[in-house]
Amino acid sequence: MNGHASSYQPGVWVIEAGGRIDAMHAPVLEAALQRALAQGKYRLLVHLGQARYLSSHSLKALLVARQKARSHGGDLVLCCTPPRVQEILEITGLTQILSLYESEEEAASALASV
Amino acid sequence: MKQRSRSLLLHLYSIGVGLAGMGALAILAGRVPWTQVGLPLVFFALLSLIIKRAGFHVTPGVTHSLVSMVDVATLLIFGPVAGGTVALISGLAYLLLRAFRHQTRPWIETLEAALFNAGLKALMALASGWLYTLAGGGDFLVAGLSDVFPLLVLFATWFTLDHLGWGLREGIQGGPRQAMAFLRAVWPTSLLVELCPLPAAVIVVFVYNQGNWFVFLLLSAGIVAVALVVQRLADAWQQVKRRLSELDALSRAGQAIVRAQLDVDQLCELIYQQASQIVDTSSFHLGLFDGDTYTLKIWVRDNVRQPSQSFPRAANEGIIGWMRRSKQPLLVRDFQQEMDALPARPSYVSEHPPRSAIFVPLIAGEEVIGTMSIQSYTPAAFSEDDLRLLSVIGNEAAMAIEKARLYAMAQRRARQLALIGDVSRKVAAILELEELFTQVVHLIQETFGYYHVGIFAIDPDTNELTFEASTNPDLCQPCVNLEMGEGIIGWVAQEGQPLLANDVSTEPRFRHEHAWPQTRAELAVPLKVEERVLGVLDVQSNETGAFSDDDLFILQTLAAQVAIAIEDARLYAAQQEEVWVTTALLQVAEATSKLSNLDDVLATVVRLTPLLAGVDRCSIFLWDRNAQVFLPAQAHGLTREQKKLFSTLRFAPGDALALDEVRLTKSPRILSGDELASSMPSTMIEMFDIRNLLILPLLARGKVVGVMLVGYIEESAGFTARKVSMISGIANQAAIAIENAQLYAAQQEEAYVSTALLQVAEAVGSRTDLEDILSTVVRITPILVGVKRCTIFLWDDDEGVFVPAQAYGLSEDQKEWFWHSRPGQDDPLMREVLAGRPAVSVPDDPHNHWLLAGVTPVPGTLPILALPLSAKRKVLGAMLVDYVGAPERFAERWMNILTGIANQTAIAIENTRLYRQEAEQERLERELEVAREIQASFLPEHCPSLPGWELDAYWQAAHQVGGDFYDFFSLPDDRLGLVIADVADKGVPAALFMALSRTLVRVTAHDGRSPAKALQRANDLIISDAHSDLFVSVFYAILDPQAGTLTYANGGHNPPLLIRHNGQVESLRARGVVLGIVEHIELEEKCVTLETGDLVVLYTDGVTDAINADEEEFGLARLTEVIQRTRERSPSDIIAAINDEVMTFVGDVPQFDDFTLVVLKRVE
Repeated sequence: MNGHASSYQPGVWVIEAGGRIDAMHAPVLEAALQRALAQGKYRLLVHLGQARYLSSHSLKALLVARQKARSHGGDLVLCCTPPRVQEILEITGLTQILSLYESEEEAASALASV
Repeated sequence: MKQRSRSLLLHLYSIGVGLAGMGALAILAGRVPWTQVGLPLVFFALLSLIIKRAGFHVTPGVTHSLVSMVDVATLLIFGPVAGGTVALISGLAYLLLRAFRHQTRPWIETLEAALFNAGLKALMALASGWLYTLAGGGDFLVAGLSDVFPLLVLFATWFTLDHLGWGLREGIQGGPRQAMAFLRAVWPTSLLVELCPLPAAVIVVFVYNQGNWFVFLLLSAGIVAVALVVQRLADAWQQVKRRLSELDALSRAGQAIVRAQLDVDQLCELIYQQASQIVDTSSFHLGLFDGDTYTLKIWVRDNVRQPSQSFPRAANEGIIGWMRRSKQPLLVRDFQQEMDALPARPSYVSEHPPRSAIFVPLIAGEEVIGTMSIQSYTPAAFSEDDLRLLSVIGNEAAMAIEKARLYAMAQRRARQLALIGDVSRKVAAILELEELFTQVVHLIQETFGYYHVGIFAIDPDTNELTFEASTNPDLCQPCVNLEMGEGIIGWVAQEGQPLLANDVSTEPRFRHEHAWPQTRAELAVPLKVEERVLGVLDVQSNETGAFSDDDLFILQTLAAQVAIAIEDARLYAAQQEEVWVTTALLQVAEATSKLSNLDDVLATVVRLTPLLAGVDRCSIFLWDRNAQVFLPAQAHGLTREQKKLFSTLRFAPGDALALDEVRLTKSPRILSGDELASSMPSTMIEMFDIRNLLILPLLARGKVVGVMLVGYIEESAGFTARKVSMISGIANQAAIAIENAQLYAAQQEEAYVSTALLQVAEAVGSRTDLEDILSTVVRITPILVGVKRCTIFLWDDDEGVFVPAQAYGLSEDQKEWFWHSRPGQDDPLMREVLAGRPAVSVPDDPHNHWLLAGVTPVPGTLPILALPLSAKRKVLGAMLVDYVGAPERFAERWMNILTGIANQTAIAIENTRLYRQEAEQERLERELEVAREIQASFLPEHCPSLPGWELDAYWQAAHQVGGDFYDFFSLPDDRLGLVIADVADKGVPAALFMALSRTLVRVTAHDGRSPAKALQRANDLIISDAHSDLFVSVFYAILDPQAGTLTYANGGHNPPLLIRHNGQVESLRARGVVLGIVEHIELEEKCVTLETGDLVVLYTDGVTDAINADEEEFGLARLTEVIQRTRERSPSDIIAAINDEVMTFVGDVPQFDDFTLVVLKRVE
């Protein structure tokens, strides 16, 4: 799971988390997030367009990464969340915490101005 | 008295008597009245003649008859004169007639004899008549006793005078002895026949005087008859006598023969003697046949004994030949008369041919072995009786002769065989071939006395005839070399048959120039063993016809023995040679087995070979399999200069055609002259001065490990098959030694490499830390392979580069460079390594012969060898060392060690990884176990029992611990707190977080605070801990069993399900957020009343998020459905049903999240 710079905003690092990110795959997402952060990318956009599921571990990874990003003046936002993911986010009440956007462009521009 | 005078006297006597008698008669003739008595006188004369005719012989030449009776009667009747006349006439007539008829004697003799006879008769008559008258005899007309006396006188006178006359005649011929002999022989018969019947004459007279003619005629007839009878009887008696004497003779002869020794000559003599007793053998021939040769054993000519002589071709000629063929005797009465009637002509010629002869063949059984012939100058000297007698004697003698001959032959054979045996024995004892030949020829010459004896042998290899030995010491080999088929000897050698030439001048195969000048006869026999001709034994004589069948027999027998002796000697020599070769090879084996160093072994071989094989040069080249060249190993017989040149020699395929040929065909080659010049480099030939070269392959297990070159300086020196075979034996030994040495060296090599690698293994195996291992390796490698620098890179799969790990022997600059280098696919050297191939980076060096096999050269500036460190076909790293020059011989070993070290290092790397992985794995396992234990310890041991309520819980940890938990605790006022939560972590942290969460909730809830407040407080506590990474979703409810109310708040957890007794489903939602994220959270609190039969099911996302093989989630819907369906049952049953349903749904897919259920049911 490598990231890439957003085509909309070059300063924004997009990580596309696809598939079923359960306990098995959460570490991959985590590693990608940590790698990006290590490389000094603090404007992180997690594209969940292809995600089918998010486990609590991946949620935790997102939250931890968000914390770190914010501590460096950046942020971590989500975009294009499918219904199921949305549902999970709602149950956990994270919709109130994490910033969700409809599209990448939106999310990117929001990040850019952080 | 001389013969001449005797015969003269005889003549005189005979004629004298004749004349006297006739004269007397003539004188007294007047007294007789002829006319009166003429007719009766004639009658009486006739009668007398007839009676005389009926006479017989007792002794040859003397006839007896009754004629005297008639004559006396005539005398008495007619008077002496008339009587005398009658006697005379009859006698004369008789003899003449007989002579006329037979013609056996000359006329003169016959006439003389007749004359004498007649004369004597006349005288006898006259004298007897006179005396009769004187005695008183009368006319005799009347017979009376008084006439007896005168008659007696008459008879006596007649008788006496007759015999006197004849006796005297005999006496004149042969002296008084002969006369006496004659008389002695004659008188018995005379007495009987001539005297006794005289009285009967009286009867005749008387009858005549009676005048009865008829009676007289009868009387005359009777007298004639009687005379005839007497004649017959006399003849018969004579025959009997003859037979008796024959038998006697035969018996004597037979006895003599039997008594005689078995000696042929003696027997012949005996025959001669016996024959002499039968007939007159003054001309006697007795000869024996020997093939075509007729040998006269006894030869008497005119009573003179001649020496024995052989007539080579006379056996089939003439009468002798006829006798041989017909087996019949021959009696020739008169050659002159019977010449034309003879069955064959007599073959001998003489001046005085015989008149009569007797020829008797000597027959022994079926064969005529000889002949006997006796001749006489007188015709009819021999009779049939003689023939018969001689035949019998001859045949008896023939049998004896034959026996004697056989005996003689047997004796001869025995003697010959004894001689042969003698020679053979002497010959068989000799094993030295040369000595054998010399001894044989001399022995043969000594024993048999031949003029010259020589032996030629056939060389078994070249099939040439070579002269070996001769009794002539002057003869030498070059003078008498013959081709096969040349000359008598050559012919015999080729045909394998003996050749006897008794007269070499008639033998076309005889070669004069090879012969010895005095040779007249030659006999050559082949020396054969079975059917192989080994040589020729040649015997020569300086006389023609010197060799008989006997000689042939002797020589053939001898030849057989000599051939065997030669064969033995040859076998012996071959054995000796074999022994010698074997000894030589043993020496070589002994010498080489003691040495273990290959150089020493080869040096010994090249030194020994010239000694043992007599060659001038010997050298060995070894075949280098790697470089595919022949390299010089050892040489002997070279000067220092030559040795220097030798060590620079190198033969690649194509440099020396002969060596290539030998290497490919694996068989030896002999080269000389032009062939040598074209197959080997000329410099080599000149330098080493070789003219005759033998190249042998050194074969070990069918492979060529080298070649041995053996040479002569002289071109003429030959490599015979035997020499080559011996040198081949040495070569084989050398090959074995080479192979052994090579094996030994290989073993040593292996041992060295193994030891080196063992060291590495030991060093590496005792360490577990990879860094430690690698640093050990880079330190050891330089020592083991003699390089200065050694570095190791590890392959980083993620980065796709080689990362520096360890280095040794680098200078500071090099170290700096090393630790910063991260070579990847772009480095050509490393690219090879990544592909799993060792590579060498060398500056361009065309003379670098010794590029190692299997190593890829890569252009570079520094000579570096890079080896991949790979395990299980995966490249884990690279090892680089200096690529220094190593001697060719050790290159392989060097490479082997390096490769071994590389492999060991790779394994070590792999092992540490695995170890780490394993350790990691184990740690995880351990962690998990601890976590599980912790988790388990924090869960309620059993569900509290509430009257009117049923409560059950189920907790299934996933393979990977997820951090779910549930809790029950009592609260004041008999209330029950129910918690279900999910910590978003795994392993030990999850367990710890779970513990913490549980504690926090218990703490914040224990004083009965409302669920929302409790959770809020808990959140604050979590957040206040700056290091906390704790996020937990919690659902907390307080149950009032009396009231039947359930008050609850939800911090981000799955809302539990409420199923009313009628099946209606509600979600116990309450707004909230996961604890531990933000400060000051707002949680909604709700309350719900539970009726009897109502169910509350608390669950975690391990239940609803359970997926099957299609990644389909179990989902809330299904869960609801199950609970609805089973709401009537007890909580444990419901849990079981849910569990079953989920299990069935999930199938084989492993779950990675905890599965927690709590079911609460109001039963009253």
